[in-house]
Amino acid sequence: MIEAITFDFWDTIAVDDSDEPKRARLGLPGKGDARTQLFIEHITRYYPAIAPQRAAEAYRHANACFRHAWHTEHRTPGVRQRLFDAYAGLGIQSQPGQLASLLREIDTLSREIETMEVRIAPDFAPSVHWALQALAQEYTVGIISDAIHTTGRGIRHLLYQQGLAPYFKFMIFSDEVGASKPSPKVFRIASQEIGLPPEKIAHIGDRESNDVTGPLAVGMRAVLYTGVVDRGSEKTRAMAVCRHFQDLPDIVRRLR
Amino acid sequence: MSTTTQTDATLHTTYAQLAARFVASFQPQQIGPRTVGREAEYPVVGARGEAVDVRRLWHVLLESGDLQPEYGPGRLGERDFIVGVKGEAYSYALEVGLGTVEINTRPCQHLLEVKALMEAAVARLVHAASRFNWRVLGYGIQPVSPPSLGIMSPKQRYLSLYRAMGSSWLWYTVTSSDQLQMAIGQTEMVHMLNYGNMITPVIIALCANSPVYAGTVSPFCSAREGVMAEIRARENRHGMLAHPFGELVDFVETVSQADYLILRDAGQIIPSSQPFTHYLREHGADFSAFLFHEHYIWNSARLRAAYGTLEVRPACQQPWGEHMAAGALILGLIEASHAILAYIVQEVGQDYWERMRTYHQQSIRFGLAAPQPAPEFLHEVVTLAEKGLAARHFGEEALLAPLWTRLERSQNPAQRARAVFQADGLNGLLAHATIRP
Repeated sequence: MIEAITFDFWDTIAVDDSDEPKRARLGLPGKGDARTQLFIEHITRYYPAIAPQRAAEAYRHANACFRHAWHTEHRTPGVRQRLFDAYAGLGIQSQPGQLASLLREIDTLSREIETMEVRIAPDFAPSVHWALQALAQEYTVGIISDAIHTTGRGIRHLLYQQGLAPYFKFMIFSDEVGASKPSPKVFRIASQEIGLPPEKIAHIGDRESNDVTGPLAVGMRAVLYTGVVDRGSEKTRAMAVCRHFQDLPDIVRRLR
Repeated sequence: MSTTTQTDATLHTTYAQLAARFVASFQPQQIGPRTVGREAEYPVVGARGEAVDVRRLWHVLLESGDLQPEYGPGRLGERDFIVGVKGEAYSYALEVGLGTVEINTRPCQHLLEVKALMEAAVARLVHAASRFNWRVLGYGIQPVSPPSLGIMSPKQRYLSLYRAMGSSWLWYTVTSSDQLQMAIGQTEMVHMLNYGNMITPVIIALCANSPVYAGTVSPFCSAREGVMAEIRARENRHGMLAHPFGELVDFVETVSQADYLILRDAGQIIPSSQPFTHYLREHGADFSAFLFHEHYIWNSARLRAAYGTLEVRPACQQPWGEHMAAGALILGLIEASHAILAYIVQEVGQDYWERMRTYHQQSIRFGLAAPQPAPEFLHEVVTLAEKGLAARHFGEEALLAPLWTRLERSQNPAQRARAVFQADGLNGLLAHATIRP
């Protein structure tokens, strides 16, 4: 019998990039452009000798480093690490006795980027409030989510803002635990935190590799959620497909 | 962003300089009975056991006029944030969790003096809390509220630690330890640092008291220590040291390998997450930065340069009727350190450090039900600790009485609290843990 449920965040609880049209309506650039723009503005202000194009190239290089870590090593370094990589790409080093100042400078920029990511909240999946409220009465509920651009702290902030945080007994974010889905590590951490064997935990998410194959590999149950986007439910290995959150309590009850 | 303005050879010189400064912060030799001070954290909860905001207690505690407010930096730009109230004999401080108060005593000649101060301080705290219908608990963790950002004190350095460590830092929003500070001399620093860590499982086996948190039973007797052990485990930043140190410079070098979580610059506290060695390479033997870094290495026994003391940290807050039990045990263990170490080497063997590490893991989980590393091990160690206290001639050994009862019943406070929770539920646990001075 299932005793705990873990949720993916993006395209499961919240709709990924649903803040982009809102940003556009406000005349704000897309988040990808905004990140690069913030980096370029910062670098050219502090280091006027560096051309904007070179700064943009360094930020692209840092993004490539991140993608490598994410796709091949299954870990998602945080915003600050990305900035360290970009700084390294530009050959910026601290002067003797000035490391603290350099770290402060990077932290200031990292705060700006992190704030930009959550300034406009995404849409949340239909009926997610209702489902979490219902499930939290019967099960231990948690989150296992990758944090790619929005940090774990940022996602936590969005959940608090939305009034959803109290439903979750624990939150596991890839940038905080040093591993991302489908690495077995994140699912094992969940099992340890809940104090339950994997077979008593069901994971709900939208991606076959991360949210179905990953949990199944450690013995957890998996439900594919397609309420935001269906990425291929006809071929899924999940034990069930959930198309609407209203159906989720019944689906979980039927899992063995 | 790797910089090498100092070579590794220079770095070793830096370690030696820092070690020398560190040693100089302690008295040359410990002569006579050690002075002691206690840092005791208490969860304060509402009617349903949820963490409350203890800042509302400050104005009540300040009413009598003998305590002064202490201000500290809150969020960026805030400078008028009351972080505690301070008197001559004891002080109250806001901990990481908004629902946790830390009471610190001044250094005392003996534990009976500590006991009297603590009882006066706790009575005032309980009285202040009763105005809001809140309870103060003799328990090692928030029983209901899970670790969360919502109950984190908004101090600038806590916010920066949260940015540096993420959710791991939030664990400290719920824990309540019972720590003792004891004066030590330069000649015994390394011995005490090693020994204080090695003896950790004895303290946990006898004094664990955090089995239930977030409203459910955990697999641990000391959930405080059990969860902490996983935080930045590769840096061995919590709990028992991975291995003993040969000399103080080894300690400085090891500590310096760990990430510098937060640093001070231009009046701000900034998350860093770079190894402290990076900082040393750039800044040289910056002693105040070293102390700031070392403050966030949470091994079970720490040398505190600011006070010239050994701080022993692994005990959970104790049930009120036995509130001096952990302090008495710790001081006894320290006073009898040579006799106890000799006993352990003889009975446990030359690989005693590894075997004590195994015992450490087991005691966190099973408390007094954990298999002991030698027959009658705890009985013998407590007997030696009792002799250590008796040799101080203050009568402090009487404070060990609850430990003998725990040993006799093979039940530490965690095992008792778990049984109460399983029989009577959360209300039963709250009633059991509530302090009624």
